[in-house]
Amino acid sequence: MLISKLCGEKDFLEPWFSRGCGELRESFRYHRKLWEWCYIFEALRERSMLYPFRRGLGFGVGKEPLTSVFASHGCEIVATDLDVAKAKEQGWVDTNQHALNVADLNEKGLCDPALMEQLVTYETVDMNRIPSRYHGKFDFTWSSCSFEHLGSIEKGKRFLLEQMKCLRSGGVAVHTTEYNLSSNEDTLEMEVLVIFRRKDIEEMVDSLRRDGYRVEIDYTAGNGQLESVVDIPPFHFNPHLRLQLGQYVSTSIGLIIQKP
Amino acid sequence: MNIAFDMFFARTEARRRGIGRYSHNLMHAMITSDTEHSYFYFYPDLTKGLAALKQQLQQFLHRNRIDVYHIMSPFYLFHLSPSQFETYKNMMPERSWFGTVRVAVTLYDVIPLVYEQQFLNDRIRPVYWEAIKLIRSCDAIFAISETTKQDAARLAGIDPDKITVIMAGLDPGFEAAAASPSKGAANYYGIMRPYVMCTGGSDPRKNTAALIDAFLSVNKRLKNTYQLVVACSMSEEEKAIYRGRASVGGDPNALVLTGYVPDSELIELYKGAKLFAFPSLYEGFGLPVLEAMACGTPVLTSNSSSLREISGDAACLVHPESTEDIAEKMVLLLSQPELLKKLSQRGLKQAARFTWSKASRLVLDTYEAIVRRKLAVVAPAAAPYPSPIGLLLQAAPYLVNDFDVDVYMIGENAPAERDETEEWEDVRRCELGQFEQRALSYDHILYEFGNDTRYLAAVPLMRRFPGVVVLGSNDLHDLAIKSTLERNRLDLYYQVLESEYGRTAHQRLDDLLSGRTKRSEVTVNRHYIGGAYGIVAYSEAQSRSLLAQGYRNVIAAPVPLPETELTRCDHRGDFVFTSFGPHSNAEDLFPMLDALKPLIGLSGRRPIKCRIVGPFAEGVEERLADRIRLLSLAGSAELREAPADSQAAALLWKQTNAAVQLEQISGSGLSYAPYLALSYGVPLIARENVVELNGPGERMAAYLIRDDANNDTLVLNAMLSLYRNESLCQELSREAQAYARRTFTPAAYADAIRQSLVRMGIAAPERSVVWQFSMAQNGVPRITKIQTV
Repeated sequence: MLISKLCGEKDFLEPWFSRGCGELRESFRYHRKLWEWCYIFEALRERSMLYPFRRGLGFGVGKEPLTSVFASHGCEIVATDLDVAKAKEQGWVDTNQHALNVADLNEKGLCDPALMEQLVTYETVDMNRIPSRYHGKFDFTWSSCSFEHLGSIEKGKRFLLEQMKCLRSGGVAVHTTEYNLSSNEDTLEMEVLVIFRRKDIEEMVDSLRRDGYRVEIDYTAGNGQLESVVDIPPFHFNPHLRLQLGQYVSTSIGLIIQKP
Repeated sequence: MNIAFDMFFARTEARRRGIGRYSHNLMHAMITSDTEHSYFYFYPDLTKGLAALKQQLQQFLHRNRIDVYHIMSPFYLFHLSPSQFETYKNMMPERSWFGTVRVAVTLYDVIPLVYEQQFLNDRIRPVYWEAIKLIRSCDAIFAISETTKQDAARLAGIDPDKITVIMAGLDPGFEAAAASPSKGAANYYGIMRPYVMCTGGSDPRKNTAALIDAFLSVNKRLKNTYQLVVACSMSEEEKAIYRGRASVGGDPNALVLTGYVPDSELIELYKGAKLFAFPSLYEGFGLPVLEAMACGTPVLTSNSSSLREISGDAACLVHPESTEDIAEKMVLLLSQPELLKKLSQRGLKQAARFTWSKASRLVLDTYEAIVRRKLAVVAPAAAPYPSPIGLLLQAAPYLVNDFDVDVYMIGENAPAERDETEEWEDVRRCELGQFEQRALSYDHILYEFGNDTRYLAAVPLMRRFPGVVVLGSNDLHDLAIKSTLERNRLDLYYQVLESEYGRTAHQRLDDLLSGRTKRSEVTVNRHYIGGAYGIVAYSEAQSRSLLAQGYRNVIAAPVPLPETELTRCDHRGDFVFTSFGPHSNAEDLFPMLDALKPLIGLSGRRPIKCRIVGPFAEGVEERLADRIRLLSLAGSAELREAPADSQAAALLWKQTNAAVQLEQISGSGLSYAPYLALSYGVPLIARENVVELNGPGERMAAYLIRDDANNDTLVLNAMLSLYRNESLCQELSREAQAYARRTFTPAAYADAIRQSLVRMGIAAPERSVVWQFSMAQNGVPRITKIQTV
């Protein structure tokens, strides 16, 4: 089973990655965004979360295909994102990454439209203020590269703990975010984007474990040939496993947290 | 395989009840144990009316290419509230909506039929029977117990052969919870003494009142040592009644009425109970018995319905309608700890026998079985003489890889030897009388048609249940004559002509009857095969002719030839020319007889004989006999009846040195004898249009006589060449046989038929839907309009 880990070149040759590409109808490419989607899909699939009667809560879903894939497996999904005004403010609408309607969530037609209508609810939610009505209502939660945009490292940490409250006993949370490969001391911390250092992640994991949640994590960073390539703005490179954000090299980290 | 589940139950209260849990566990076991198939989920929308529901379903089936559709709860309308039931009670799908998609259903019980007085009234009964009708029409029915199966067959008239008993398993989390330590649920519910536990409900079928009465009497005898914990939701009124009974008995604390208990606490209560008592009058499965056993709790339950079945010898069985029996057995158990221990151990073993993986495997195996396409073949047995009659049967064994093949024989029975061959093992022989009853269950029906009267039995079948036709003739006029005029039914003959020629049928009839028009000039097919989904012809020429008549989906198939070897044997040293029937025109054979005269005059060679083998059309035999007499060929030429069986036919072929097939091809269609000659390696002299030889090596396979040439001379030359030149005979024999083995095989014939079936099986494009999305006023995007195009 997958555990919490950094995006690695070797993962792209694993059967779970191919399976994920098939489910998402994505062609193979060395791209960390694709890795995140496949990682989230597999982490949930192998934990028996993707079948009817399971309820999932997605944060900052944008136009990512995961919502529709989960619905196509019969899961009942509450997909959430910023409201349009705030998304515009942060520039997500202009970059075409913000979902404006349910059609956006099923842009690739991965799910039968009637099934989408039955199983998917779209709501606007500020990830810094998760509504208490969600507490204890879901079998799984997920987000792909979202909680680094909450304003600060502290807010990111708080989100990770808060969203666990949405899970039922036995539920699982899978989130991916930015990980600083360059420094464990300095990092980027801006209103719109932060990069989490190893020590930030360690603090999060400690807090989660203190609260009784289970996390297994591997911080090994690969040194493969493609992992030596660092993409730079405007980030159109293939491979795109690592990228330059400010003066830091960043990659994705996936976190899998189990609620006992 | 694409498998769809009907998820209506998931939108109703049933989701939280037994049906919901059962479906949930079954689906989970299937999906997690199997990666070969894809799963889809259908949520019917009843609010837009029956037509919209049909359209929604058919769109879903078509878009997702569904192979099997599984109805998880066939009585889904009964999960609705009374007011919703009134509104939607007509929203029952019909089997025909699913087309060729296989439909499976889970059947939990037929309790309303067992307790009809209690459950059915005039308002509900018709809806319930509509659901039963749908279940009957399903391809597979999964009963959750043998009791359900037997009662469904007995009370609902459901075909037991369609029912697979899959049983059930324990909830996946159950075993883990059963092994976990207690969290004090007993204290929470105010349980203060050792206790007997039951689950149930207010349904009289659960027999809770009898159990309480039995317990109160038992407890008095056992000095009020125990409490009875009734773990189920119950109305306040019922609670008051039961508490009153306990008070009257002098022990108001004897009953603990918990109300609804969550699963985790229910398991704790099971584990803590001295005895689990479940004397229900009737259960489709009786899961609580299994749950108690899995917790190691001894079980007392009914000796009826599925409870006896699932308990085996691991429970103490009582007569549920006898309060005394329940009480006696309860005393017996509670006063004998050794007996309780034995039941506990047996119960653990019994519970382990029921798993969801077993149930899901049975379901998936059944899906595999029902998803195979079903094919009915309607054809006559092969005639012993060379004829296209019954050729279709040669394809049947080659179609079993793709279809479940049922063969319905028309006309005479098939020779026994055909059934004994190994290749026919997987082909099912059915009685023609059963065809109409089963016809709708077939995905494809194949009919063989020709001019023989035995095809008349297929005419009404073809009209009611159209299919693909394998046609041995371009024109079925002979069949029309035999079935109408020869039976003195001019009116029927007119009908046949009218099907083909409409308003001009009168004129055609007059012309035919007056002799102004020859029968061969008036094609008659539409009356018989006008409704065919496709036609398989035996040659390119026949195929072209049918296309010219306006038929579509016509495929030319190679003539199938037997792969049997014939060992040649001389007939008293003679050189034998044979012309095999059927013969419909004597003049066509005159060139052979004419050529025989000079041939027999040759000296120094083997004696020459000529045989003309029947069957003969009316008057043909006499005309040929006259010709033989006229040419004084009585010693050399003979006319023979058609062979009575395949052995006699084989002997004639073995004694033949060269086959001479000069019959003109008209409406009679395929002439089979020339092809058989190729297959048997008998040198062949034939008219060019009698056999269609295409492909490499065909020129060396036979001596072909061009139709427009001087036939007499050419036939003489050909017969002379073969008679004189033995090496030419051998070469022709070798080449013919090699060519036939390459080209005219039953496998290639079956392939063409398979292609035809697949081509005809492709449904016309369904209408599609354009989905439109818009933003609602509250900012939540919604699908607001569905447009059908």
